[in-house]
Amino acid sequence: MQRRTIAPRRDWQAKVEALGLVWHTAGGQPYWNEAAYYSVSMREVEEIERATATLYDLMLKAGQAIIDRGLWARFAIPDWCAPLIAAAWEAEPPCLNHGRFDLAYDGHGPPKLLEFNCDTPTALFEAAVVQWLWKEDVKPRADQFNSLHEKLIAKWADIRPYLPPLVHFTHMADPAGEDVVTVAYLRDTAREAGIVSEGILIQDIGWDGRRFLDLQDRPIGALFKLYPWEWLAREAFGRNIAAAEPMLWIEPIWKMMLSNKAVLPLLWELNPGHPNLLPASFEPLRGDQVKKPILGREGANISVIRGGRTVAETRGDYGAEGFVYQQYAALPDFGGLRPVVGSWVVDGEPAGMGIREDGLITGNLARFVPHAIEA
Amino acid sequence: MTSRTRAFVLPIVSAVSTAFLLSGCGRDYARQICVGAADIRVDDLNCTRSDPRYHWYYYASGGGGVAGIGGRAYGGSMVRPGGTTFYAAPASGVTRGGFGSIGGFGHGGGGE
Repeated sequence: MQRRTIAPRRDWQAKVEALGLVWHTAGGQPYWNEAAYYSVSMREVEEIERATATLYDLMLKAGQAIIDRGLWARFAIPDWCAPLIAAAWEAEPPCLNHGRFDLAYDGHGPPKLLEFNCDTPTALFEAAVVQWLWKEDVKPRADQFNSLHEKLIAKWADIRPYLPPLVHFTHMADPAGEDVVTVAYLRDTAREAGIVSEGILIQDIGWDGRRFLDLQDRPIGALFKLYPWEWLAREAFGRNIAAAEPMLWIEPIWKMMLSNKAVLPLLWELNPGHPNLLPASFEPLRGDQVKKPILGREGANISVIRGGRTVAETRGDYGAEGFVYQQYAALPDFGGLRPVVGSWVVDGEPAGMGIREDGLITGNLARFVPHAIEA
Repeated sequence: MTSRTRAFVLPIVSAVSTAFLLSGCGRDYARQICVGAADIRVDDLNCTRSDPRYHWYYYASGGGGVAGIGGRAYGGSMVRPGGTTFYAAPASGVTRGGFGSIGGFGHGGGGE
């Protein structure tokens, strides 16, 4: 895996904005960075793909272990959510079952799992569409690990018979537009599959004592939400989820288990020494390690500890529910830019990848860099 | 398997669809309520139990005020028109704002 500098397309801002990527610059720096790309080989892609499939299987076994052992308190999951999670795990309600494995990978050793973002994964549109069209423009003879768009549409088509006539999509009004873009893209993939949808901001959802309603007071029969389950559960309407008439939540509440970083020590306990896992614990480890809040987002409240001292840390509002400690994995270092591979699954199967680069900690100002398969 | 070599239709993710996502909506839609004797509105659950004393009552899109629980239905029809999706009408007061508080409290977004 090589990072190669390249001239950006002269009108790249207009090109990506025309696609809908309004969130292409953050903090005065390009979030979408096509002044470089990652050149990968098919062998490397196949290794990432195999690791992704393996990790997804390990995640399923971990989910079953959480339920069997009743590890709700360890995962800071409210008690009232437990029966809902167990029921959804058993019933497997229709959903996209999509997610992004963040992997440390240098092209030599096996990919190592950093975390699994499967409740509200973002950086999806840029991975599925923007980098593909970049490749078509700039590297037309190359290939790309990317079947996200087709797989999303296919999965919507697969579950369409089980959905009500109208599917609602919700997110918060994020000023940056990242959530807006992600949800707009997913609505478009649903539309491609023949699904009629309507958007509603999360704070506009109503409750009439029995049902969640949209702004027209229509009952919501199926709701795609880009809003974390752990937030929903703790908010004023949270317990109404259990009391409400049946409705479909996309993604389902069982994602609370696997998107929680408390799953990392469990994975290591269940699969000690697995080549795609890093040692992880609820207690500090020996040696270089990373301290992560079990319920944290976008790289907040993370500490990198090397040689017994903290060499990097981020602030944030997370950590009240506890932390996990994961062995430090050195990311490839290209002049201080360190790429994390985001390997996607749709319907639980590998579907493509996107690469974001940042410093020692990959935060919400990480830059998305496209990739091409060239060997 | 890993490659994607076929052309695909460019998804229509545009400023238009993004604006639609955030836009408000009209209130012009078709509803159904459950009524009993003398067309008095009752809880919708009564119409889901195959009880002949209760039946659905339909309001066309733009069809005017919907009776509340205990109120007498009028302005609609007991015959369901074809080709229209009918939505249940709220039976009691609707509250909003019960979701979104954590996300609105200084967090950058709900994504991960």
